[in-house]
Amino acid sequence: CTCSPSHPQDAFCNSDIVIRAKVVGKKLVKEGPFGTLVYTIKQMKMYRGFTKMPHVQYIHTEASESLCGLKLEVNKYQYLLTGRVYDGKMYTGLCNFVERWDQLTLSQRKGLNYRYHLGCNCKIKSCYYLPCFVTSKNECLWTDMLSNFGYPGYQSKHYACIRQKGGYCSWYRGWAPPDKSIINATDP
Amino acid sequence: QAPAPTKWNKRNLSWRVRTFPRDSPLGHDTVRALMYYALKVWSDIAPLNFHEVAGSAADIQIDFSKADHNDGYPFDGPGGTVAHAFFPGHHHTAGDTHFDDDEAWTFRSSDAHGMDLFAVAVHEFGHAIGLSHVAAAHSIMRPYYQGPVGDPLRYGLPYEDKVRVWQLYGVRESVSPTAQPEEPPLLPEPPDNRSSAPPRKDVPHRCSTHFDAVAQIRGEAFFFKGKYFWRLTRDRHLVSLQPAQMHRFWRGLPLHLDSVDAVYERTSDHKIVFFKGDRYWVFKDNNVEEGYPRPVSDFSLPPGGIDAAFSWAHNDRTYFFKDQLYWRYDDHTRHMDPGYPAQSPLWRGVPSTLDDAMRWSDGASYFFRGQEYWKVLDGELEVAPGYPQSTARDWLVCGDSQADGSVAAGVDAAEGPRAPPGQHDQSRSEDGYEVCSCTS
Repeated sequence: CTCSPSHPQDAFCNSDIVIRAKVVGKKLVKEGPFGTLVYTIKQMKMYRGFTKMPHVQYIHTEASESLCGLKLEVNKYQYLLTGRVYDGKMYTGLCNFVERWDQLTLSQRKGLNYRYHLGCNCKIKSCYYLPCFVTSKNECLWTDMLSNFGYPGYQSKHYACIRQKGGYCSWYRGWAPPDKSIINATDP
Repeated sequence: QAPAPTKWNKRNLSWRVRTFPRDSPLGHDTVRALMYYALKVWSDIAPLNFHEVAGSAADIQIDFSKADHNDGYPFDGPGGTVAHAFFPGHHHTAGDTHFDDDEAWTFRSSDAHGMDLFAVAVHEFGHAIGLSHVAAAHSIMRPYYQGPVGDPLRYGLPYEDKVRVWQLYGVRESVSPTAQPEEPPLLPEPPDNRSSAPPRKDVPHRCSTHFDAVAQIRGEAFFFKGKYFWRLTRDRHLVSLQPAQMHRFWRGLPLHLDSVDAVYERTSDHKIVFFKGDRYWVFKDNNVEEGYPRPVSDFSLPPGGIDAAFSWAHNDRTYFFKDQLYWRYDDHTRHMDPGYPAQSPLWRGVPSTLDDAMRWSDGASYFFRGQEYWKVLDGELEVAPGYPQSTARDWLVCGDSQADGSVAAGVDAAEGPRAPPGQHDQSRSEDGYEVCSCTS
């Protein structure tokens, strides 16, 4: 399994479901050649997916990590879980953004609450080596992969890519919403 | 309770690229060369041998597919999951490796946003031989793509990955786990000067290519592709697995000629005629005649050249083909027969467009297109039953059981002593044209 690194904002925008939950059970079911792990969860909060699946009880992932299966600890942590819905089931995996809740930064939690949603019409462009460029005004250049710390890096932990005055998307970190008028215009 | 990674009980593993990326700048030969080198990364240090095969029985089947691709593990469009692989085992998909064809796969690209195919392939083949993920910062087995890893010919695994593959399979002879291993042997640079070309990119592979031209010359068969050709003896034995360079043998063809359109031997004087675009050359034995190239209008053919040419034993006329048209020509009078061009095909069951055609010593005519050929028996106007058949299998010694690791680099791991691949390769291509210098 190889994952294209994705910024938490992209992970949020590209997921059907984003929830905060505690894993309370785990079962291996025979599905596919290597089986599927089904985690039972207790959903604490939903950030995205009300229309697709307002209440998530089970999360499916491949049992084999070479097929992007994900291991979660049972009865230990609260997690932020993202995933997609196929056949009425929520699937997650290594390539989805999944993090222990206590490991999320304050910016990431704010992002989940509203900022990431605001930025879903911006595009986060991954840069793996130099030189790299933005080619349109709705792009933010994501350079965490270039730093020594790698992924996840500073932009993942502390920034959201949000449309600013003049229609340009750019990285935003701060305690207040970027611009009241824009927020009002895009956030009903 | 989740399945633990296993390992292969055998040491010789076959592989095959079953489907290639669509709409990709990477050609088939490049993709296969990259797979070859990505597997070699592992077999250089562990006692595993990988062989490319043609059939569906390969241990490691490689596919480029999108979304749901019938393995129960659908891909997810651009981004997210970019590839996955099956651990070794007894399941029929064991070892199989799939790449998401919704990604922009690249090689030596200046685009810093694409996915470097070689880097991802090394990681996935790690899974295919039984390695799981690790978090170590420099390991190739980190699950997150981190950008290109450099030249496939010079890439060496990080130490933590070497140790893990040694734990599974042991150490390849002559490499000590403690000593710093030597630099991997280098392969020659591509013969052409396109800097973006992968190693020896223009050397075609006989088992997966279609041919530019096919001809019977002095009773032997010649298969032309790009700047190269293969030769078969009268009893259809391939003289060398490695192709020879066209201009080294056909003295007088321009060095920069990158391919030919059609070749045939004239029955009138047994000279050999080469076509390329608007021009043609006539050879006596393997030397070009004075005054060539000349324009194809000499044959009353229109500019633009032809796809195929051959002489039909039945009426001793030469047939030229271009797109869906054909012409009949009399080599004895040097005149085009009246009433041509006509609409192809004259022979029922033969495709209306051809790569080339030839008459063979069994009296039959053979028509080639793509990877298949059609046989028309002497004097018949209809394809023999059971055709088309595979050109690679029936003429070029390729088949399901054919272990063939040569790929674009021309290095065949299954053959010969363990010489450093660089030198090995050199001497093999040397063989390629020496073998052919005895024809005339």
